[in-house]
Amino acid sequence: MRVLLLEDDLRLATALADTLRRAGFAVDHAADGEDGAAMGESEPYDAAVLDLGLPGRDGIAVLTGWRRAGRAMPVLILTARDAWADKVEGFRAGADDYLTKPFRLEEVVLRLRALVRRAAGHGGSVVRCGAIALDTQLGVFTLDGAPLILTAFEWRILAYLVHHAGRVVSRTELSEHVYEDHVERDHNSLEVMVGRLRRKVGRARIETVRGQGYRLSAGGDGDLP
Amino acid sequence: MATSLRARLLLGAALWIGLALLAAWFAIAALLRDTVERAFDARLDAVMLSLLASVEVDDAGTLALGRAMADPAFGRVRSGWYWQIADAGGVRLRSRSLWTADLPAAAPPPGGGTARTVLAGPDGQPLRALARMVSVPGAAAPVTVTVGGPLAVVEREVAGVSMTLAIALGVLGTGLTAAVLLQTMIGLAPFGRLGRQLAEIRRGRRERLDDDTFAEVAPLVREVNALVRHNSAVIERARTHAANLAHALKTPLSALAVTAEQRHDPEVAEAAAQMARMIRHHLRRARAAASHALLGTRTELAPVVADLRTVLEKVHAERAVAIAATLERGAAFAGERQDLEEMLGNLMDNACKWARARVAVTASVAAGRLAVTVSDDGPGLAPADIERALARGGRLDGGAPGDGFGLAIALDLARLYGGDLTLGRSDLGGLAARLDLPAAPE
Repeated sequence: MRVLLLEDDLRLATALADTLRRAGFAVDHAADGEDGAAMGESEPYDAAVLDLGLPGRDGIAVLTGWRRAGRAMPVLILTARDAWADKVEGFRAGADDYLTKPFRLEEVVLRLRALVRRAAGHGGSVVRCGAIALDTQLGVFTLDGAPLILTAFEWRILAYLVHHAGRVVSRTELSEHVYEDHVERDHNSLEVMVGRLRRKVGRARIETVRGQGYRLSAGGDGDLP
Repeated sequence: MATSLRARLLLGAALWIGLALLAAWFAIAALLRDTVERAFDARLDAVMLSLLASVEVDDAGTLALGRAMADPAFGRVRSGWYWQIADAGGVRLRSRSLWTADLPAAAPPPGGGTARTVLAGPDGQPLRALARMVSVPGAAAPVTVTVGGPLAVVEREVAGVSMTLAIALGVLGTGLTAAVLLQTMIGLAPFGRLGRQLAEIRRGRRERLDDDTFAEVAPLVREVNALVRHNSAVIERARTHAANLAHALKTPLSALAVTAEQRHDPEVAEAAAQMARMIRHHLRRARAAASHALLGTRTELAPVVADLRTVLEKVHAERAVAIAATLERGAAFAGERQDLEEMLGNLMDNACKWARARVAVTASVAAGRLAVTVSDDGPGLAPADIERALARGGRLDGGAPGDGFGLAIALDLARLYGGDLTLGRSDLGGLAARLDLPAAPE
């Protein structure tokens, strides 16, 4: 799960980025409206956190630009203005949720997870694929009801796969959604990570579709015949 | 003590009218007295001439009248009208009215002129008299002819005419005063209109004074309009400053709150939350205090509800709350859109937080009041909790997201517009929040 964080206050941005990374998101940060607008238009983010009071280009204009360019990722607005008129304006521009400053970091994480989950078409707060379940409120994976112990990167990969379960996810797509902008994307190390994940969740659950990518499926008890 | 411009004008006019009438009274009364006296004297003159023409010395060598006097008043005894002809030896001839009495001797000028004088009559009453010394042919010495009439007649006649004059002047004075009263009323009417318009401005029913007024009042109207504009500009500026300050504070405050959260420092986190609440509270007060000045505006209910519905259905998408709106056609609020949004937004948000699945907004207009009810199918509130919920800053929804100010904010704003917010049980089973607000006429 990769999110774009557009926040000009450095302390706030740092705290948000840290928290989001700890919560399993890959985070790209921009402090300027113009940069952020361009990043949001070119990269396939799973969600965006957008401060409305940005230098360069204000948040509403950035959001309007994204929507006009056909970018449909869910957007969580952060704003100092808490009048309903401001909220209405934000939602008209295409926002999906808002938080007024000051907010709690935990709240940002919860809202973002819910937005990403709903955008992938999952109604309830728990996303399931067979025996694998992700509680998006707690951010915890379980396998047959037992907690799964995962590294942050494994968590990211599995979270993306579980949100898009049943569909083939190409290596490029997967790497775009789990690596941050500044990290060298390496298909081999991704392959290694997927291999380690397989050992934890059961080999049969993550299929490799030759030449296409990976698919998380509900069938099987987790072991290859 | 408030002094009245009208009283001042009236008093001034009354003073001048009074003085003018008094002067007129004196002048006309003197003129009348003069005329009356002249007429009286003419009558005496006529008698005098007739006496002079008919007095003669008869064969016996005594004075006698050639013919009788025409004026009958001289024939009635003690009528007050008398004449006598006397020489150095005493009264030779007298009017019948004198009977045996004599008039006191007058002292006519010896050259033949007529003397005018006041004599005491036989009964002591004052007489206005003429006396003239003439020589009668055949007589040894010149004789003095005296003709007199009662001064009381002059006085009575003057008094009668004066009374008529006084009445006429009184009527004139009253008429003039009434005219002045009417004139001041008409003349001062524009000020009354200004006063009413100013009151309307203060109540927010109008934005400026009409400038299609009289040339004398126009500068005042221009200045007042400029003042009103300046006033609202100052308020707007103060409001913007307050908002900018509040919003500028919120980002560093967020950084503080977030840092406190990361370091697990609940004291700093609570202080930051408290600061945020205070900023929000005072910002709201600043806006509310200013919004009163812009009453009289009209806000359609339907678009506001539609906007809020879009926002809230997204915000509460997680819980799939359906918001149904049943609004009377043309229902409108007599106040600012932002305030209506704030009231309804908070009530609807609160309803969505607690609702199981449904929120209903209904609105109707009756007798100039707009009644908006927001109901939900949530758990509702116990009567004791209702009171606490409406108290400023009461936090009942500690478990649900939000700051818990919602109901208090809505109540505050409703009261500002002379309305109210009541909480009760809804038909859906949960809480029903009823807003009573001024309705804007269609």
